Amino acid sequence: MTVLSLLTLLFVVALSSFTSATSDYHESLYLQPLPQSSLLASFNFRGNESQESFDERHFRYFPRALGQILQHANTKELHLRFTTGRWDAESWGPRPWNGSKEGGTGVELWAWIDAPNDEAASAKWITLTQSLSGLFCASLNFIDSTRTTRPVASFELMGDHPASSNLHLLHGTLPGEVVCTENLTPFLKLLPCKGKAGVSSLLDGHKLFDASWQSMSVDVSPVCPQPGECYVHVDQTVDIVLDIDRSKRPRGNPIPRPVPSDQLACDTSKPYHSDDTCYPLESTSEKGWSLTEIFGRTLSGACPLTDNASQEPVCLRVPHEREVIVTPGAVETKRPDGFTRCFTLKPSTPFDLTIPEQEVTTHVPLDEPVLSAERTIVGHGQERGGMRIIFDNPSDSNSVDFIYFETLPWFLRPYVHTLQASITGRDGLRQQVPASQFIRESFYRPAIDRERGTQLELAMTIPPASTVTLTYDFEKAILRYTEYPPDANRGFNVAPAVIKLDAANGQNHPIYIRTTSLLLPLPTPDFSMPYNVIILTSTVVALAFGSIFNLLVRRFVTAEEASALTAQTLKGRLGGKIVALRDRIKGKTAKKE
Amino acid sequence: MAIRDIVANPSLLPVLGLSAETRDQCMKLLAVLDPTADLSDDPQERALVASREQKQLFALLARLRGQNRDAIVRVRETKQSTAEARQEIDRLHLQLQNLYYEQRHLTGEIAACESYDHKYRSLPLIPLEEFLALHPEHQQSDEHELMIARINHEHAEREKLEQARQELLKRKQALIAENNKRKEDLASLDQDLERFIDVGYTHVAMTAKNDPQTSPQTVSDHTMTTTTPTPRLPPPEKPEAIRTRFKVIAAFWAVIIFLGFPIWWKTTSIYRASLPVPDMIDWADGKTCRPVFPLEIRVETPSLPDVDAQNLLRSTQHTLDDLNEFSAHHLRLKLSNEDPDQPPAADAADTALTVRLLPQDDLASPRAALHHDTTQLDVFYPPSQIPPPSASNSPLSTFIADELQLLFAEEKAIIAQVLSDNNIPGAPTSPDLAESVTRRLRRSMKYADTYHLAFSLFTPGASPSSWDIQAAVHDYITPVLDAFSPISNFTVDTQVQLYATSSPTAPPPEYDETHSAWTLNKDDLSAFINAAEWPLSPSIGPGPTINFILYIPSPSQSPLVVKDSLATSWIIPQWGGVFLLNPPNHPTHLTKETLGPAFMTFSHQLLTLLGAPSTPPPLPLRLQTLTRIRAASLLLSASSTMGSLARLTESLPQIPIPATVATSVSTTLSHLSSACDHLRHGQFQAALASARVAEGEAERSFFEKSMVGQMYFPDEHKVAVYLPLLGPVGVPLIVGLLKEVKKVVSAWKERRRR
Repeated sequence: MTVLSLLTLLFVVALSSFTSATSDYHESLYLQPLPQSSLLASFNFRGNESQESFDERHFRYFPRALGQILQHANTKELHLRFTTGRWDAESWGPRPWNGSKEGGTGVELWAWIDAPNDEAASAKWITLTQSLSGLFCASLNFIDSTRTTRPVASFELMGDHPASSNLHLLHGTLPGEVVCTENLTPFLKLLPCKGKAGVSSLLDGHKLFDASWQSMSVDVSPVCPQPGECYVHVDQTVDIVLDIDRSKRPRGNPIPRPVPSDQLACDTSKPYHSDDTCYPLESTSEKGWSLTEIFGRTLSGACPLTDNASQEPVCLRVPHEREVIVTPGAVETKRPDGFTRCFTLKPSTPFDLTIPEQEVTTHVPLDEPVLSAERTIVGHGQERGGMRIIFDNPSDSNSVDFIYFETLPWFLRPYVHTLQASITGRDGLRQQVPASQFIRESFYRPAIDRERGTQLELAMTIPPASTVTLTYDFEKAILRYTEYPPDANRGFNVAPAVIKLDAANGQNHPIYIRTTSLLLPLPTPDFSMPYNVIILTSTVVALAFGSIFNLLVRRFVTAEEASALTAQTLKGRLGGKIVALRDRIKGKTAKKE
Repeated sequence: MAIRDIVANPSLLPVLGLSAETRDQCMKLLAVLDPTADLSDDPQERALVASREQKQLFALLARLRGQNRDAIVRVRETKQSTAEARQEIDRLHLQLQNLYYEQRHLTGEIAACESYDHKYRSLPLIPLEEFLALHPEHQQSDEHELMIARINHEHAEREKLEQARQELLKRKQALIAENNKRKEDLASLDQDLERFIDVGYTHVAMTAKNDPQTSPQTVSDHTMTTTTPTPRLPPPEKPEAIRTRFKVIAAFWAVIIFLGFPIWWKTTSIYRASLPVPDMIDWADGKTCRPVFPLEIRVETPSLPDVDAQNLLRSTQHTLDDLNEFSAHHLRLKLSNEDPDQPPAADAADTALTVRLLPQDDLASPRAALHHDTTQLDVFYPPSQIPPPSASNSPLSTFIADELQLLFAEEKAIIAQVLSDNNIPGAPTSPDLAESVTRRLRRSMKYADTYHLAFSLFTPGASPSSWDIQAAVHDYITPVLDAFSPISNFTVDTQVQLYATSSPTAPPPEYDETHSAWTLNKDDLSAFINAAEWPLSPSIGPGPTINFILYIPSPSQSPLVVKDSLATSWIIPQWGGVFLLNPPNHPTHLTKETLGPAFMTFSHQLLTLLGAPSTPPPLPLRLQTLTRIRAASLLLSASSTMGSLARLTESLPQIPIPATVATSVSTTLSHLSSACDHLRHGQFQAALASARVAEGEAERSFFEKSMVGQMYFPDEHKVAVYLPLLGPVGVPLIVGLLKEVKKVVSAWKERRRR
């Protein structure tokens, strides 16, 4: 890893800038074309509010709606993530912000709450989720005790907190939540420039949620650069990976069209090449694009609140040899690393950036991920299943230390004693080894039905150049009738696992990796069953009761006596008459024949 | 071929001969006339010969024609005869054909007749030899007759057999009938025997009891049953059987009534704590408490002797009482220096106002002056106007009374309005005053323990983006809030919101040339707030939020004012206030001085929104007035909530009433009565405190969560689910019960008839 990733660099820059920041506001946009015609756009908005005015509820750069919620819920540090899609680490390299501004699929929330004890913290946590649910139009209020955990080692405080405070970390996920434009609108409302000016003016729900991967985050933490001088820092990011070809399609006509045959680049060396047969050549030149094409609008000038003297809000990471055309008035600065250039913007002047299609020889190097992880449900049947987690360490020399954290819903009951590990080296040989060889420490809190989910935290080490597979078995619980959602046959979401890699390469902040969320099929009953049971048992009981009652109450006589008795009663006489009438009618018809 | 070979008919031969002759004559004539033959002859002669010959030729030709005609006639005749002959032949041929057909048909018929299969051939007859042996007379007869005889014989035989069968059937029927009869006889014998035994027993029993009443009946019964032919009734049930059955049914019903029903009742009934409903309704109707407002006014007379002071007090009180038309609200004057050393009693009334009488020499008429920061009214009077002890009325007392009356006029009107809104008759007020009071009441927020104040700076552009809010709030708002702190608590939030554009549906401001300003139409002010986009979410926590919006128009639309009135601020009833600030030079930072007018307006708007009256000017007096108004309105609102709760629980028998609600109701009622007492004694602060508690408890009881849940499970639902069980089980039980009841009733009637 000779070349530091730009994003890592940016992250460090961002950290240093916010530590030195006063009560002010910064925003930035980083663009980086990724392999396979993708484009990473990373928006970042940071605001500071002094602790005094925050406590006195004078909000300027800090959104009032969020500030009220935090004060009402005694929350000192808040991290909220909305994510859809999957980061393709094999093609796209390491994650932006080292995964620290990213959540698992759906919604993920963790917060440090100041409370005297656990019960008070839980009550405040419920208040927090309910309020955030209203603010962000998300189902955060469904984060109840079964989806809440208190991680031990997986998350760290980001801000500076007074030592006296009694903080409780609570963590909740909603893997099934669909993140969409109704979450973006309140997100933009929190920004001082509200998507009307600055880089946030590029954010459009249609494009954002059409992306291959997107993640929105809100982080609030107190920062004290000097003792006695504290700020409440709010950091909002939007990271998206857009497919350039897909985004360039016009909105009114989004159906992809084939390339006209005269524009096809064909491999003429193929023996079957002719006028009507073509083996298309992969284009060697880099794709051309512009902000307007990708986002459907121009960037409407800098946000005037930013400190525009030192700010270069838009940065682009392409080789310096590539031609970039920008709107006149914007000043370009090339960084010495050979790949990065940044632009200053003028307020209230639209800014556009165009990169024509060009043949390039140098490519932006992408780091290899430190670790790749994959988690799947294996097994079959309605009763049991298994979980399989595969960790792959691509490095040939360094082993990887990390914390693996997963929460399982209570209706998935793992058998931890079945936890087994196997290791596959680069030679492809698979060996069964005891799991304790990789697990240094573990924290396990078993589930309580309908109250709490399983929490499993493992401190692990993966040796270099090897793939470790962990498996364990689980049992699927049977839910109560009313606990099934309307779409019960779809399955139940299992939250992604979080992997925290310890800081390496002199960085202060750990790297986070999240696996994909899982879908667990549970045995689903026939929902008309209770009514059938009620009716069936009622009928059986009624039958039994009727016969017993009759046995007890009825008087037994011979057949002749019975007929004599019935003949006496009105019913019997009526019956006799009806029989006679029937006989007569029958006789008549018989005569007719 | 010569023509003679062809024409063979003799009748034509003469024609042929004649024609040959004619030809010869022609040849002769030709020879005569031939000029080349003999020129020596005399031409005359030759002419003669020729004419002769010609004449002969003509004769021959005539004959030939005649004969030709004859020949043609003959041909015709021949044809005629031929046709006739042919016709004859055709007719004959046809006849022949018919005959052929007839013949064929006949042969077919004959064949059919010959092949006809008659029934008699399949008849199972007795063999010929047997027949002949039986009837030797047919020995000689031919086959046909023999067959006829045989068939006849067969017929006779069969008829004979059928007759025999019928007879046998009849016999069989008779036998069956007899059999049945025997069987029945046997059965009845059995029954008779049984009955005989029964009757015998009862006889024994009856005779043992010496009861002459029943025995004949039993005997007659007995005889009747014995004489009745089939079908016969079963013997009467044994008394033990009847008793057992009765016990069985009774046991079932006992289980249902004493076990099933209580369990069902216990498990399905809704807990309803008992509420003092009549009391609650009385409170709501204002029967329990009639709020009165006796205001105590202290009069300080430092320069007057006691007697004069008492006298003045009495006459002023008299004038005041005369002036007052609203009995619920009255002023009570009290000398402050009556007992200066005595500590105030526990139930002493609050002092609403202190009147200080100060003599001033150079005055022609009395003059009043209000202190701005205390509840004190200074009245300066010329010493000459001290009323003599005998006078019942004096200019000074009238002046004081008028002044006081004026001071409390608005408060009186508001209280009258509040009371009349709750159907308690108040004093008649002037329509103008009543209307303004109603408007003020409608604008003001509902009373709450805590109010959240949110000050927001909105601007459509990027600047100004900061303001000296801390200082502005401290200078202008905090004093008001401190003054209000006995009544309510307050929190203050502020925010800066840039790029806050007005909603696209709102009409844009118009430029007014005359005032060189942009103007908003007065009717469009309601659409000024862009509620969809501006982040004006209410604050978290109990209590309403009062929003104050400071709007800085964009430089292109500045100055912005309201049309016609040129006002820059307005109140949105029960929501907050708006101020349009048009700072010069479009600064990026708003200083405290710039914010001054806006926050001054906001503090006034806050007072209005909190319901404080507009007069009298001093803030302490207005707050006192507000205390009274709030106490009255809270008292009335809590009472009406109680009434609503009572009516709700009565109209919805399905809803549960938890014990907490009952506790809340009793707390409310006790606090209501204490508030009412405090009001009566003029202790308005204490009354407000009690009324606050009462209102809180009333709201809590009315909005109790668990009182809503049960409404969704009506009884029909439960019945529908359990009907498959209840129906089949219930029907035999009920039928059994009905039968038993009927039996008991008939037995009872029987006994009565006896």
